[in-house]
Amino acid sequence: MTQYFQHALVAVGAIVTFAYGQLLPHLFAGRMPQVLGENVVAMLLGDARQEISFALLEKADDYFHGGMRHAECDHELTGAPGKESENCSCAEDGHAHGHDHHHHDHDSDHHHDHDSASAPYGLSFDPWRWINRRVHVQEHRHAEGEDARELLPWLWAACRTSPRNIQAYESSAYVLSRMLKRPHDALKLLEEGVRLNPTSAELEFSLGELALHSLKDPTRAEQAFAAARAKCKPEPGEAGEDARFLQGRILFYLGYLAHQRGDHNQAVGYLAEAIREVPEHVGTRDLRNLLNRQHEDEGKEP
Amino acid sequence: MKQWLLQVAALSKLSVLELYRRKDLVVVFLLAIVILLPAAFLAPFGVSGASRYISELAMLLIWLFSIIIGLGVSARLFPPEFESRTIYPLLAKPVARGTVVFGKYLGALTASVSALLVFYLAYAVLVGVRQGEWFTPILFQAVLLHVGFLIIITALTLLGSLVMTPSAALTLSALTVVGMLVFGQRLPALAAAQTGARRWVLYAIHWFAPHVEFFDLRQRLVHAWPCVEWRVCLAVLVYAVCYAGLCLVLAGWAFRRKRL
Repeated sequence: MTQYFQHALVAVGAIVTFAYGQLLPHLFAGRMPQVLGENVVAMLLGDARQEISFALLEKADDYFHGGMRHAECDHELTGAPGKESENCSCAEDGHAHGHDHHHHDHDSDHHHDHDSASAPYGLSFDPWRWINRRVHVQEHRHAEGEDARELLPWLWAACRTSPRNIQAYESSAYVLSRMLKRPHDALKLLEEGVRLNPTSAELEFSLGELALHSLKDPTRAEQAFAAARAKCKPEPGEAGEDARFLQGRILFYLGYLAHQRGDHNQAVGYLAEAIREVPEHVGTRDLRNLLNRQHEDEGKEP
Repeated sequence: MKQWLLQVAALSKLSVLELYRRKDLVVVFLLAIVILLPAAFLAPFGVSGASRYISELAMLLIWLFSIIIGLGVSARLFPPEFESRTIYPLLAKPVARGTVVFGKYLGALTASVSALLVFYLAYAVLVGVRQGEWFTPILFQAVLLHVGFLIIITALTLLGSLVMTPSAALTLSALTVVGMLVFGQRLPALAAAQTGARRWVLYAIHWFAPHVEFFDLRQRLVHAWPCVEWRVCLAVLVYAVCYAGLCLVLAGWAFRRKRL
């Protein structure tokens, strides 16, 4: 009898708990600590998600280097976009891109052997160091072609852990479109990134580049660059340096696309804006050269 | 000699039976399946064909479980015998204390290695099914060096369990093993960056602590790097045997001096 009573009590307790759980959001609508629709990861990890997401992105970078964390290598999957580019060009292989991993003929340069280096504390030979250098891989290589699939689980996890990690979306889109030749998957991912990060000019810019170079869709590209231009608001001083650099690239692309459409006035308008906002930017210089060339060509025509 | 071998074999058998009686292996094996199975079906961004992440996860679990089993088995060799006083009938038999230590150590090692072989067999099947590569030479090297790792950690924990309390021995051994796996390679660089006493403490750790990171071939295995030179492999195994031998000599000495 007592046992039946206990079972009934447990069942009633379970029903009450379930009902209370269902009622809570209605009773305290708008006053709940969690944001409606947030997933379990978001609720459990909170702001730590961003750090975990960056760690996962670093893991993807390690995979790109054959499992090695290589500080000396310039070819980082997680590098800041476009900083190292010296030219703004719209040619397929030469366009500015922060993740340009295409030419890795220098792998042999990275095959270091430090055995000749003496131990730092005056002893000429350290057997433990000798063993470690032979057991653990010292050189690195770069993932190419289909090998890039191996990066995807970490990139996927980085995007899912923190949808605010813009770098994760950019790197994932780069791997999908450039390395695995799946631009439509990359487009879907970038659109998701834009939806989740509505203020990000970087993602709109990446979307524009993808549409222009991989999907050959200048209309979609122009829409994305225009959206990026609207979202890109550089702060004054050093803090806004990255945004200004991006702004220069956006204006270059917009000017270039307007020029391609034959809308010379709009292209000149973008150049004027670029000269006003980012006069020293390489994109401004290239856009000016492009428009001057057209002007000269028109002058030569009879 | 034959008598000694029989004594060692009898003592070892007890330790192996203990592991399988406690069902530790079944628990960790099921846990590994629960973790790996959903991960194996992941198709990130709709793209399938990635396999290294699952190999890395599997290897991480193998290392974690081998540490748990290796430390757990060797830390439990003597303390329960002291507590339940079953050590007295054992020592009443015509068996030297050194033989007891060595026999029990061999049992702990055999138990840990047998569990390890089960894990690696499961790993080989997983990799074989997913990647079509069965029993590569690097996998053989990884197993061999992992056995070397167990040779060291079981001896170290056994020594610890004879000179301190079981929980202290387990904690200290676990900290040493994990610490050396993480920082072992970087110790000379870390020491060089320090000044004064801290520098010499780090150098002392570098020279005398067990370099268990020598045995970690996960990176080569997961990312399909070439095998380690066999002479290096041999050197690492010799290091393991020497270090374990030193620990066992000290354990035998501690056991002989122990007041029961």
